[in-house]
Amino acid sequence: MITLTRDQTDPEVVVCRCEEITESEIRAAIQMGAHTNDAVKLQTRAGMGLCQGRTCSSLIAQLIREETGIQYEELPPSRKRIPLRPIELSLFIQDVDD
Amino acid sequence: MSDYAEVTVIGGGAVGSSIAYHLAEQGLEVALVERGGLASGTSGSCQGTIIAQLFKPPLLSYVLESQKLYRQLNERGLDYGHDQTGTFVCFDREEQRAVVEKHARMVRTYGVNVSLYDQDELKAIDPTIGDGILGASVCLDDFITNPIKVAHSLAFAAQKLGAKLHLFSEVTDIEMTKGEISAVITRKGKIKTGCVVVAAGVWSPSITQMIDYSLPVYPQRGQLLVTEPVKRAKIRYIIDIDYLTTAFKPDEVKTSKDPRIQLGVAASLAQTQTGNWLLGSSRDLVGFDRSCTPDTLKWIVKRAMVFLPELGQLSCIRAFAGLRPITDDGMPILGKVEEITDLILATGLHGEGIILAPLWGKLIAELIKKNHTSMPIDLFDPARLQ
Repeated sequence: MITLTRDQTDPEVVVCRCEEITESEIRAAIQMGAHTNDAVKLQTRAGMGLCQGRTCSSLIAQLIREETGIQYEELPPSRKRIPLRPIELSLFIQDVDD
Repeated sequence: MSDYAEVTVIGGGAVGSSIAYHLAEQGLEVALVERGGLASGTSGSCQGTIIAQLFKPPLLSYVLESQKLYRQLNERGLDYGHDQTGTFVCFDREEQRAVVEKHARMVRTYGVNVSLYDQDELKAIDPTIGDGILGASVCLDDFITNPIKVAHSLAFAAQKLGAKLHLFSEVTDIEMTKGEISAVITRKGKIKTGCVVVAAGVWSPSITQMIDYSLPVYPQRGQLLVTEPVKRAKIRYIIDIDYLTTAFKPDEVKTSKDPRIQLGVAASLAQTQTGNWLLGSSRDLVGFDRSCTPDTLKWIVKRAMVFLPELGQLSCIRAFAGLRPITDDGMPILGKVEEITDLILATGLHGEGIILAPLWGKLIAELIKKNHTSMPIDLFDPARLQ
């Protein structure tokens, strides 16, 4: 699990690299009341990109803990959706009859 | 912890946030109460498209007024992601031509600027349009929004005007004292209040149930696919004329032999500001089930590729489903509940929640502050559904 440590932290460090959302944007959203990964996602787009939160979700959880005290175990998991990884749309219609 | 608010709005989506904003603008002390984060319900699982040209009276004039309010909010600097895409209502079967032309003539009489484009004119704008597309009714005044930003921008603007946001504060009870509402009880504490507005979408019935009011609002599922972000297209919002059937003619859907129509699928393809395409639309009644289903997704993609064949080459990064709050007569709900003093409903907006959010906020604020609204609301009276 990747973690941010104090000496690495820079408010402009990019946490969600797919959507290029910075630590300060995420901290601001948490301070404004976004207390779960999904709430942070809706407010900042962090977790909406190509990797769907694989890279950033544990980092966001860490920031939530730092800002609110809510522990990782107490956080509801973010909503998981298909597809498990990006798939070409044409694959969806392979067996549709006309 | 005991808070106080003159008005407590339950539901932190686009409609609830708009209501909180308009009430705060009128100087009222407002609490906006939401069980999750802002837009965590239907407002966060929809397309955000603001189309007027597919409506007809009586809703058409309300849609046009709400569009006006959006433009005013945009000019005031509210960042809800206004994107002037226009709408292209396309058809692929010759028998639909008359339907498209008739509808275009009708909306023109209400001041909606629509033009009919033939296949050549469409191809001149975007050569990648499907060869089967025969023409379109185009309204360049229609636009799209980011519905998540609609809710967030209005809620935070309301907060700047003095409204209190209570997030992650699920309502567990509504307290009555001597037959009148006296407080809203949430997981995080009690809010003393004299007036409650229920704008909780499909969850509104579970709220009104707390004070024994049975609200006939039901969930209708809609599925959407999200693509990877790609280069900005020339035509960024395409809607299928079959949408008139799937959205507004439930009886025809029920008796249709077409498996696509049975699943309520009609293309609604919108490219967002960030370059992702949102591909829809679908409608089915499965209770509160928000899962995505292979059959519906297949039909959405297949239908989408009739209009924009090149979409097939894009990657899908996510599929999701939202629940539209629907009513038996197809009309939304706005008004006071006769039997319960100071209970006001603002829900049942079908697939028009994001479209009507600004207007619903304005009308509710007028109703509460002046007991008089700038547009007639009898049509939306909750009593008609009892």
